[in-house]
Amino acid sequence: MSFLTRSKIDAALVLAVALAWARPAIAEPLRLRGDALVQTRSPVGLVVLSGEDRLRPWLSAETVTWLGATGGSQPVGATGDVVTLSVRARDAATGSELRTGRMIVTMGAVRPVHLDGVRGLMRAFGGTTVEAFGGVPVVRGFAYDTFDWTAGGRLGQSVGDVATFGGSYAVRRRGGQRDDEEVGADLALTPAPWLTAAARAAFDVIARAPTDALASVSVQKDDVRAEVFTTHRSPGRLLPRTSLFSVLGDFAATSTGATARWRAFPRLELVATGSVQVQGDEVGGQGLGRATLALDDEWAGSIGLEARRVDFAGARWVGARAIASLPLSSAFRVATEIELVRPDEPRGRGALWPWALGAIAWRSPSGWEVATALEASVGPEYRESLHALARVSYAFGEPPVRGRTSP
Amino acid sequence: MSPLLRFALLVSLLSLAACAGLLGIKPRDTQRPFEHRSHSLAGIGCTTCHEGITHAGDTGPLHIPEPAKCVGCHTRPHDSRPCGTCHGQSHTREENRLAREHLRFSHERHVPKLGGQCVPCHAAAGKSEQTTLRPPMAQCLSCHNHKDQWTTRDCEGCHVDLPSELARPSSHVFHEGDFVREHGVRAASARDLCATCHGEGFCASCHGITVAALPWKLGFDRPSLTGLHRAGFASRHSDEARSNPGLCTTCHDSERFCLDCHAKRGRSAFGGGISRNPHPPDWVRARGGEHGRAARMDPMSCASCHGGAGEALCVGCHRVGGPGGNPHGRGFASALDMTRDQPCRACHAQ
Repeated sequence: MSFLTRSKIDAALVLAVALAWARPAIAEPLRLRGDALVQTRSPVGLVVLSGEDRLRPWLSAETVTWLGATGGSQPVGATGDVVTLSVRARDAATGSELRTGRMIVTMGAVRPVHLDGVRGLMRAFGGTTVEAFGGVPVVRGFAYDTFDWTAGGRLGQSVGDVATFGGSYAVRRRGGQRDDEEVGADLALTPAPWLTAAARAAFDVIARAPTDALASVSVQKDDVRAEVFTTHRSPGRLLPRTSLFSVLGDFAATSTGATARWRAFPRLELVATGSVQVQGDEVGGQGLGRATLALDDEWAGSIGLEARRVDFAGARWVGARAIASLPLSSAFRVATEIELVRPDEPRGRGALWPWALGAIAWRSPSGWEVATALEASVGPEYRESLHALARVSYAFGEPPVRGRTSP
Repeated sequence: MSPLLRFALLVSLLSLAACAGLLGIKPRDTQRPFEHRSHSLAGIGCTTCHEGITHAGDTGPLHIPEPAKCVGCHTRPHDSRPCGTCHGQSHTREENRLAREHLRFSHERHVPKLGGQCVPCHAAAGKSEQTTLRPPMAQCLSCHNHKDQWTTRDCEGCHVDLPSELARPSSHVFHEGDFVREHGVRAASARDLCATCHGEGFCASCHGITVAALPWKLGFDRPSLTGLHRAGFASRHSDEARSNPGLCTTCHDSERFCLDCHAKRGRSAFGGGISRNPHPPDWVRARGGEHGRAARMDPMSCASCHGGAGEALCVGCHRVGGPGGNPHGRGFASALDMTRDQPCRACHAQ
């Protein structure tokens, strides 16, 4: 790691620590949330900071910084990356905005881009939206690749609150060559409060074939919600076009299924999902059933059971998971989670992969949160492992989370 | 009726009652909705108890009556505890407090326009069974036409800070069912709607494209939260990847992510200790072997180790005129220049 990179990480750490020791005040325009997770496996953390100017409400900024520690075969030290760091100017009257800095751009049906650059959104009268972005794709660890750039946009149209549709385009160049070039279309419909539908599809301009497509229709009536969905994804076309593995041809994977949720009783929720998957001559499927019983009317505590079966393309296993979460008081909470997975074909990986976690968490009214846990597992990769986890979170200038948070 | 049958009946009834409580059919707490209706029928105006509410602004006290106000009329209380212990529900008081914290609302400006009436908004107060006294958002929209603000997602006129409010939308979008899987297709058309409540950092904390972000690990003490990487994901990740071809690559860097982790831990993908070769013995044979089919089904798995310089391994056999034959699938087409562009020229170079 270069001196410059280390300096940036050190500066981010100093900033995070300095802000964490600032005095909290509800009316502050600055909001900070810092989460540090310490594991015996590898310590990592996220620092989320956002700021608004009350005198200039059209201006805001936010950043998410990821921090971690290196080890294993690498020299012991600190590592990190800025996931987002952007400034946004927004016109409240029209909803138009301009964001600059590091951001994740998801625009219509084309694939997301992690970008150092600019994104603009302009709303015209009549529900028309024009979006555009351009910049340099982010490379891990503050590095840059020469001659890399990406650009794209979306033209969208809303029809009242009933429908939104749009067309999008994105191109990415790597080393001076076309790496990805996609066009996409998207549609969202809410013809009635109980009915929603959405679809998107992307087309690879270089391979002249679809990349991926998703569609979903859901209905909700009182305590029952049902959804049917289908996805069509071409793994080879999701790779950069400069990759040799992108030329193997179209072996797209298609999945079609349904999900149903039923609040059978005020405190009991049942969820079931099933899908059929097809890829080439492979046919398989997945299924999941889950029951969650709340221990109080606010759903602050709950117990749950989940069963899952996966049978597709050499991945064949059954699993069961049990969870329990119980608030001991307004400040303390205990939770446990147990999972058992049995592969159909162990292939030297063990016949059963158990995993368990027990946690206790404490939250103070001033914004501090501390949680610790023990995680134990026997799996194909680690054989037996026991890890301790600890998380320290601090929210500054942000109202603490209250009320129902699950399911 | 025999004593045994009577006993069985009693046990059944008790079990039924216990189940009803457990499933939430019969709340166990002693709190009940405040008797607004009976007070109103007795001719007691709202402001008699909620003194000063007509002049309340955006900030200040909540104007919930203290026990001293109750005993002004109920001079002989039947219980020594504060009246609010049983009369009125704690969640309605919490709703009041949250409304004060999160909403810009002034009773002083609204009450005169409604002729001093409270029930037009607080319609639930007139019912004997109240679940909430806070007017729904639809009630506000029955007078305030916020079409322009709705179109431009400008919610700050009423909501102090929607992202930190963590309000669950009532009707216009659903976060029910398997929303983790569903959200991608919905966000495609309505990302700006998502952005009304969720900041940039909310997406980035899961979609860390260049870093291993922390989708669920930070919430390890909340097992009811769903996510793709929960519980023993580390044990089953190879099977999960195989059962959803291409899904991993929608977030993770296909050419580096797997290799980085496996090399760091010195692990192969097929168990058997620290062997670096993850492939079974018949992976590559003189007449092909399993590798060709596997590569076509899941090319990302290959690219995760053999991407970049590792591709030379393939070109050694699959070049034009080489023993590996044509690796392209049926109907293969490309707009790239075969002799000039990468990766074509690796095999097709003149």
